[in-house]
This record gives sequence, C-alpha cells and structure tokens, in this order.
Amino acid sequence: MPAPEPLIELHSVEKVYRTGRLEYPALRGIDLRIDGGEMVAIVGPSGSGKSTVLNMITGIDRPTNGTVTVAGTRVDELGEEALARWRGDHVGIVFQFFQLLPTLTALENATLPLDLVRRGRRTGRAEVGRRNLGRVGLAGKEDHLPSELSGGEQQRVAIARALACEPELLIGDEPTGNLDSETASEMFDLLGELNESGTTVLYVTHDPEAARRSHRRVTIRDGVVAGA
Amino acid sequence: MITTLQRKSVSDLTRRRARSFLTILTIAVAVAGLGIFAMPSLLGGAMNALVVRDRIFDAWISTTDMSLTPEQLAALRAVPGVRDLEARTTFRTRMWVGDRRADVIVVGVPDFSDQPVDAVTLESGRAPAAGEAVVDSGVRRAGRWNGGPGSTARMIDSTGTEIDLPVVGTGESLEFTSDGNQNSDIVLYVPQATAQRLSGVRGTNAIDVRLTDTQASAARATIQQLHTRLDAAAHGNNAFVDLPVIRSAGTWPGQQAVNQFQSFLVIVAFVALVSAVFLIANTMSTLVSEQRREIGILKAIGGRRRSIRRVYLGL
Repeated sequence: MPAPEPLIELHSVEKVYRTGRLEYPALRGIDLRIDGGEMVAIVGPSGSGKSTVLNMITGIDRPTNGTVTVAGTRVDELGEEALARWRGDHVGIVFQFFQLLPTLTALENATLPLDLVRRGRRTGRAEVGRRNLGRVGLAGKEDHLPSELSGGEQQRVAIARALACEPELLIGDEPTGNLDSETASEMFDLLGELNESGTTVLYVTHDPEAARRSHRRVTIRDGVVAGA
Repeated sequence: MITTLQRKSVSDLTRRRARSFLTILTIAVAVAGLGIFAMPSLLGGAMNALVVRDRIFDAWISTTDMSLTPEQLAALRAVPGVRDLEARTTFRTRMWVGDRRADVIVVGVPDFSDQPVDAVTLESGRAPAAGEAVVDSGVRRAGRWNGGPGSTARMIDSTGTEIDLPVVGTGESLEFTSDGNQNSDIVLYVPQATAQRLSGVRGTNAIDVRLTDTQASAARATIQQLHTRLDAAAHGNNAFVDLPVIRSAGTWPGQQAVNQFQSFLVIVAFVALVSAVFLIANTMSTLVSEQRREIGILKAIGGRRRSIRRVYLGL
C-alpha cells in the first residue's frame, strides 16, 4: 500500500503579532503534517493559536517565519491575488457564525464562489449550487434567505458554499460552535460523509465531543504542537 | 441570467434606497458642476461665431444729425483702417406694453439685403417695409414684450404723437439684442426712413465701423481720421456727441454681465464639486467599513480584488 501523500505541511511556522512596540508570539514553531483524506481536529485552550494555524493554512494570514505548503503550493509565498484564486480552487471554509450574505438566497450563497472565480457556465453554476444544497439536505430551501433558516440550516448552506468549487480541503473554524449539540452532531455526520467521499476535513474546536468525531487530534498549546 | 454578484450589487443598492438616491444625485451634481467649468470656452466660441455672423462693429460713434451723401459715405469707407461702415439712425423712445410704458430702441437699417456692419438676421416673417418693424427675438426671451408677427407696436414719436408700427417678423443682431443690451429695452428694427420719421432726425446719428486693425492704437488713429472728416461734413461743427465706443478684440456686447454670472456659476460649481467629492468619498468609506465583514467573506471564499470591486461598482 503506497504511503499517503501529505496535503498540508507546516515547517517551523512562527507568527508574531506586533502592536506598536509590543510583540505577541502566537505561534512558536509549528511542525504539522496532514495527509489527504484525513479528518483532523485541532484542539487547545483559548488563545493557544488554533485559529492562527488555520489562518496560515488558508493563507488568510502569513507566517513570520517557516513554510506552509498545501496541495503542493507554498501558500506563504503567494501574493494576495494568487492566494484568493488558489483559495477559490483548493479550499472551502466554514465559519463559526456561518458568514452567509444576508441579501442572497440559499442557492445564491451556495453558488457565490463559482461566480467569484467564474467557473463554468452561469446555468451550470446554479445546478452545482442546487446539487450541493441537496447533498447537505436542503433540497427545497433554495429560495430561502438566511434569515428564514435555522442555525443548523444556515451552517449547511455554508458547507454547500464551501463545496461549490469541489475543494480537496474543507476547513472549519469552530464549525459547530454556534449550534446546539443535536444539530452539531448532525453537522459532523455530514462532515464525516464528505470525508468518506474523499475530502480532507480539518477543523478547529474546543468541544471534546466535536474533537472525538475526527480521526486524529492535534493539540496546540502556547503556540506549539503539544500532541498529535 | 444575472450572477449572484450582480444580484448582490442590486440588493445593496435597493436595501438603502435613500442613500443610493442621494449618492447618484451627488454624482449628477458633480458631473453637472464639471460641465459648468466648460461653459466659458463653449460660450466664448459660440459668441465669437455670432460676432462673425453679425459682422459686429469694432467702433461705434454717436453723431449729431448728419445727412451724408453717398459720396461722403464712400469717402468715409475709404479711410485707411476702415473695413466697412454703416451710417444709421437710432431712436430711443417709449411704447405701450399692455397698459404699461416701456423703453424701446428703434434701430434704422439702411438696407436689409445688404448690411455690412451689425447685421440684423431675420428669424421669422419678412423684412419690414416703410412704417413696419421687426422685433428683436431676445425681447420675448427676456419677457419684455410678447409681440411678434401680426402684433402692433404703439409708440410715441419725437413730436409726441402715438404711432402704430405693425410687426412683420422677428430678427436678431448681437449688437442690439435684448439679451445683450443691459438697459432692459425693447428693440425694434425698422427701415432707415421709418427711423428718421419717428426720431425727427433727417440724416443719421450713429456710425458703426468695422476696422482692418483692431489694436487700440490703430483703432484710435482711424477714429481720429473719421472724426476729422465727419467734422468737415458737419461744416466744421463737432460731429461727435459722445466718446466713441471701441470694442476690444475677442469681446462682445453684454460680455461683462455674462462673465460676472459665469464667475458666480464657477464658484457655485466649485463648491458643489468639493462637496460632492467629500460626500462621495464619505459614502464610499462608510459603505466599505459597513461591508468590511462581507468583503472579508468574499475574499475568504475565493474573491479576487477585481471580482469584489465589480460587486461594489455594480458592474
């Protein structure tokens, strides 16, 4: 059996935030490898640097030192525009507070990334959005505005949006942090199904139950990997 | 089929209708303001074209009542520096406008078919015969009198008698037009003989001159020569009753008033423009800060700067 390929590799990643003369080291040398097809939870106390690690992987933030390689691309070396395009092609992100656009319907939110990267024909984009809403169990709610959906349904729309460009990596920043336990459990069932269909899933959580739904846990404490 | 980005643009605009309306209005005011800055050169160009069309005078001399023979007129036209010359009779009097009396200038035109200086261009009707008049089209525009072809101008002549002049057309001359003259006068163009009959002037009392050289010193020299010859024609009496009017090159009658109005407009436009720039910058800044979160989301899900800009510019 061939050894799995690394999808994400962080080498000696450091991140220092500077405010005036004050310096705050958020990451102090992170080494991390996540293979394709894994479902990994990053856990740790508040302020430990969990979300900062995710921001390094998605290119939302840049390391002060070290290298970040995702799907064969040195993310830390990409410019702003290249990063945006790369993110659109390779990564789907699910946020704790859903972050749907309130004036767009569920279908329009689920189609938005395709319009942003202008992938496929316009009619085809709507078809992809409709299919992904079906995958997350929201068939029939395409025309609902976010305000007309429950928290769980909104997060499902956010997952459908993250799946729009068929990314190999799905990233969740506290994806169930704003949901009740029953809905959170349903959400992890869905993330599990997506992982089984080949999507690598990486999420940050401080909920032990959510962490148990992963294949592997990476603990971050004081800006370093304390256990993997 | 519109994209979700276009739908977002539309919904952002319609969500805050009042602000969108005010922003568009402000942009419109700013664009109109820019238009006002272009007015002086556009107006200057148009007026200079009219100066050429109407063969406007370079010098205007008010004289005593002079009966100039065709030979004397030819001699005046032959004075060095004179390009052309028209001797005419003008008469300032009063006429009835309803039950109100109004000032009127009656301008005599020696020959409507051959006007070498300060030509009157007919705009409607026909050239007047003896005892008829053409009203300046600026009179109606300025709201001084609604007379036109078919109406009658009742005025008082130099003997105190009320005279009716049927109006047979409308016309305009840049020199006399009611838009340009600053005296709020009604202007009527009549055959020279009619002007003489109304005014009691047997000959002419004004000389309109076009010069070959409009430089001030050359113009003064030419006028001095005309003065000498006119004095001779007046049998040694002083023919001039007023200082001559010399039009500087590039200027036109009424320009000063228009320039003052333009200066006022430019100030208003400048203030409007500065306010518009400030308001637009402020609105854009408010819009961006209000939508900072949404811009962040768009970036996180693959939005490039150009695609995001399209959303906010509604493209």
